[in-house]
Amino acid sequence: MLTASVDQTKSPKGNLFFLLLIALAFVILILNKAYFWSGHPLLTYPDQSAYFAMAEMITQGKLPYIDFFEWNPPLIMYLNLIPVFGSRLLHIPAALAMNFSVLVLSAVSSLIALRVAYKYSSRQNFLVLLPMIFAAAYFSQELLINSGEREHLFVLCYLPFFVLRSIVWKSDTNSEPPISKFDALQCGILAGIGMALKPQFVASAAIVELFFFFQFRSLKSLARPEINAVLSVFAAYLLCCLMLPPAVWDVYFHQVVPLYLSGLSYSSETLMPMLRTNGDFYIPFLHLILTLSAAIALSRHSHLIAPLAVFSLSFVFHYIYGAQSWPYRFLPMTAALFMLDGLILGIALAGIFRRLKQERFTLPVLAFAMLVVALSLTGQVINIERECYKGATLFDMSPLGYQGKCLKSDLDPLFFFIVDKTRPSDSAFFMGTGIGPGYPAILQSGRQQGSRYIFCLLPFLDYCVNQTHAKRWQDMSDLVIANYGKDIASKKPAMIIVQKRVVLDLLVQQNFFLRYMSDYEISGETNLHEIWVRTKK
Amino acid sequence: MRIVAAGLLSKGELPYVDFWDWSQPIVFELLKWLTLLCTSLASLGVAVIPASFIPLCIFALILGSLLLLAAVAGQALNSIDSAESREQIQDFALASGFSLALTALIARFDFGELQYVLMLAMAPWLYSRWLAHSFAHLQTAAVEIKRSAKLASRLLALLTGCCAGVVACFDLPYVFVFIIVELALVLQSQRWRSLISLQWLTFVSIIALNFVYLAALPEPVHTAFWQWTMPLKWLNYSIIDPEIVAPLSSPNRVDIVYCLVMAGIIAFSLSKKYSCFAPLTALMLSGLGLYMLEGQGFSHDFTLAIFAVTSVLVSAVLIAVRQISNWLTRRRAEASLPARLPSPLLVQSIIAVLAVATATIVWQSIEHDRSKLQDYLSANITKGNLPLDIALERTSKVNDSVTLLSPYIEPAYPLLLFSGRKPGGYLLWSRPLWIFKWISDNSSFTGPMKDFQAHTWSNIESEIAQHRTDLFIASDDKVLNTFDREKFFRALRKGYLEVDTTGDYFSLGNHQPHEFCGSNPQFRFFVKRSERGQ
Repeated sequence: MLTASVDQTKSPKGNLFFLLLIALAFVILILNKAYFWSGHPLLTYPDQSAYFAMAEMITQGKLPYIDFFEWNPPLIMYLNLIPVFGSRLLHIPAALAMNFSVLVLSAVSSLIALRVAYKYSSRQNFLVLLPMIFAAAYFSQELLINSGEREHLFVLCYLPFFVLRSIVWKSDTNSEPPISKFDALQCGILAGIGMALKPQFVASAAIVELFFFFQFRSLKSLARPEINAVLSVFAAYLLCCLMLPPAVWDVYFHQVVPLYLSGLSYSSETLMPMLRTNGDFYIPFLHLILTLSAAIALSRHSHLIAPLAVFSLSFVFHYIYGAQSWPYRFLPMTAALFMLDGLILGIALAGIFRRLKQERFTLPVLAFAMLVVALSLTGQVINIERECYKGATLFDMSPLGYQGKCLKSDLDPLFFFIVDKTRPSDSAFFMGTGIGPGYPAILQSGRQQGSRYIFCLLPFLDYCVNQTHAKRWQDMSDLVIANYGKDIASKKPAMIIVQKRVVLDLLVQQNFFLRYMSDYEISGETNLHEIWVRTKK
Repeated sequence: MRIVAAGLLSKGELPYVDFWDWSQPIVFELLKWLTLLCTSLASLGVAVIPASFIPLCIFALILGSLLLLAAVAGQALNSIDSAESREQIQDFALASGFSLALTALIARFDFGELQYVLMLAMAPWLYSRWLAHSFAHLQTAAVEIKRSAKLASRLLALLTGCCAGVVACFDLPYVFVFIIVELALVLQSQRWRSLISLQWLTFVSIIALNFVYLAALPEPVHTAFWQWTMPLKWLNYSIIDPEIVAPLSSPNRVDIVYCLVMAGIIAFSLSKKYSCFAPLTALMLSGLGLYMLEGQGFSHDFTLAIFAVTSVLVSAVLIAVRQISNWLTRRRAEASLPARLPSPLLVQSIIAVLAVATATIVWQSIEHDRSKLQDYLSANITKGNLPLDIALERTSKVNDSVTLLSPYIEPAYPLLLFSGRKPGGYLLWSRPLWIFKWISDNSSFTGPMKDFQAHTWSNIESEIAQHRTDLFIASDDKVLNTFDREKFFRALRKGYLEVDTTGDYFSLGNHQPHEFCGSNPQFRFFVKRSERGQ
């Protein structure tokens, strides 16, 4: 049934009607998400909103690491300039601009991947790649909390490149028609940007190339325009980084990186909670177990299975090595598993129809299946949205300078404190062990960031001090406290939100409130936070 | 703990009713028969006790598994002519055997655990199923099979099927491991007919027989098993201790995951050419699934995965050695000066030496872990903190009955066994109390679970009231909050005196040999007042 067979020479991909149905399925997926985000114009999440805020600060002339602290490489901040300008140009809320930017990227990614697959692969291969690309698009549309995380962006950027490379490796041995430089370059540039977001992405992409090489043993496939484009993007990124003032890199290498390497263990976890805390964790790993068990058994039927499987496994490594229970870190693992599912389905379907000698039905069945899935997903979203809005309390966005309303449930309780007790031109900042809920609340409220620290470093520094007793961490801790003091004195933020657990105790130990917050008083509190507002103008 | 349970069974106590652990009835039944066998041997003058006899039986199972593997491989080699196939059969048999032995060593601290025994049954099963899917067509097509060979083949199939079937009944999810491995083999070979085999028939028959046996359990064991224990076990699979979020609060076996990832990558790189990697990868991932399902992070939950990972890595090494040897043989045949090239035998010898070295290193690292813990214990004793065993020695004597309430087994066993203390309570370990607490915090007690809670509490009450236990050891007051805490301690203090002695289950970085899950508080000791003359 599923015997490995040699690719046939390229033939027309199929009836135009069914191809249009497939295109419609993809369009429906995109529109479905657009519909969703439109109904939630202020909905965003901590990391994504923090990067947007950093990009906004860059447009104000601020420098990363010096004027605002962050411990990730700078690319994501600069990429967020796109939604920042989009937000200003179209006068839409920041969250909406971000989500639509990701949606546009998703659409572009699917379009390029489909175009490359349609243009350069054989009919047989195209029918196998199609459900794989659809599965990736479906996976992307399902994301909510982690939509727009760097891992998600990487998957979107990498997808067309992966499709192209799979054709390149295979076609090199079978003398397929050459791939245009334009297509190669656009895939390479997009993938290069995605890979440059985190160094481990490069490692995973490299291992995929290694697996293709093991299968096809052709060095020619490595000397290609898309590879050059990827390397050029890295070079350009490096060059741009070097153009930043030396002081930036001084802080980065002498403060940020050491603290990241030593301090992140503060929030590290053991293996079991990383695999099983709740459904967000164990369902993807159950998916891994089932899909990879099937994939290895079927690995002879497609040259794509092994590379996708090891791509998936590489992200298991990255996730476990990071020792943090942050589900977005294994997003690419899940994406690869979805792609494997799509691929296996494509192989199975093609095999079944080939055995029944009804190959002409493969494309129609695929087309209708995709359309049904896209429509059912859309139906689900429409129903959920109707239920969400039925009797729900809405927030009028006009105080934020925008037309329309949004669900109050999209907003963190801190948002309402900020909006009630500060003016639109005010600034605020959050002192907590994580980015949230300070962000997205501060971004949603349209207030400025009132300190260089988007999250509080003191617990991490305290951890380093306790572990190593090294003076450098105590010095850095004193510096952070002093910097908070300077920020309060210079920016006069209207509101300071303090996390009760851990942070409050550390601040009290440092006499922080007496030293720097004499112009503030407690205006309210939640279970987890104290809300301090400025009394003196 | 199961050896202790075996002793209770041999005295006629009913599992789940008179003492509680959630092992399957078949486990208790096997232990009972082993204890009876031990007793019979003892009566014949053989110097054995269950504490040493049962581990000896496990050791015999290891040898048995290796022999079975060798027999299956030998039988397959006799019936296949193709040189390439014979190489593959030989190499995979060698890899499986060495991996089995090496894993038995690596998991030495988990000797005799359920997954450990599962591994012993899985090795010959997986090997023979791989043969059935990969080479059955060659076997039937080629050599005229002698009647004795057919009989041997059937006997081996029966034996592997029987062992696999019995072990699959040891725990709820084990049967799925066999199914997943078989599905991987079927998907790879596309030979659905291979499912119609004496092995599978035996396997399924054993499962069915076990089910009939479970259905026919006499009351009150039937109710205690089906309505109390199994729902509790099922609930345990779906909840996770929130306390394991902090660092070091559960064993951090990321090393196994790294090896699993590496083995997975190797398996995918070789799976197109070598069919043994598909079932091994499926087994490895199933092992990961079992680990996740148990939800506590103990190393013994990873035994099956460790075996599969080891098998993949060893198989890959053997393939590499085979390739190098074959290449060297060809080159030596072609070369004008063959002596300048190393002999294939030299390469194989180097690998054999490396294998022995690996085993030695594993042995040494285990000894190193053990001695580090001993040093840590000594340092703590110097500071005045007593380990559980010393605290136990100071507060009780041999043959005293002891109730040790701990939500995981490790502090209590094998301490109680080797110290000669008898289990004094209904609960051999107190995981049910932890789950009852979870139910009372997150749900409500209804139906059979309410009855189980009442039964457990009334047993603990009567243990206290009737002074059936000489020493009460309890950790983690939160667990005791399941019951009316004030009532419990009032009752306890009537007949028992809390002594100043406390004991710790010392663990160095939550590594083996002492692992824990969640919190690891001190144990409080309550001695029977009459023991203290009060």
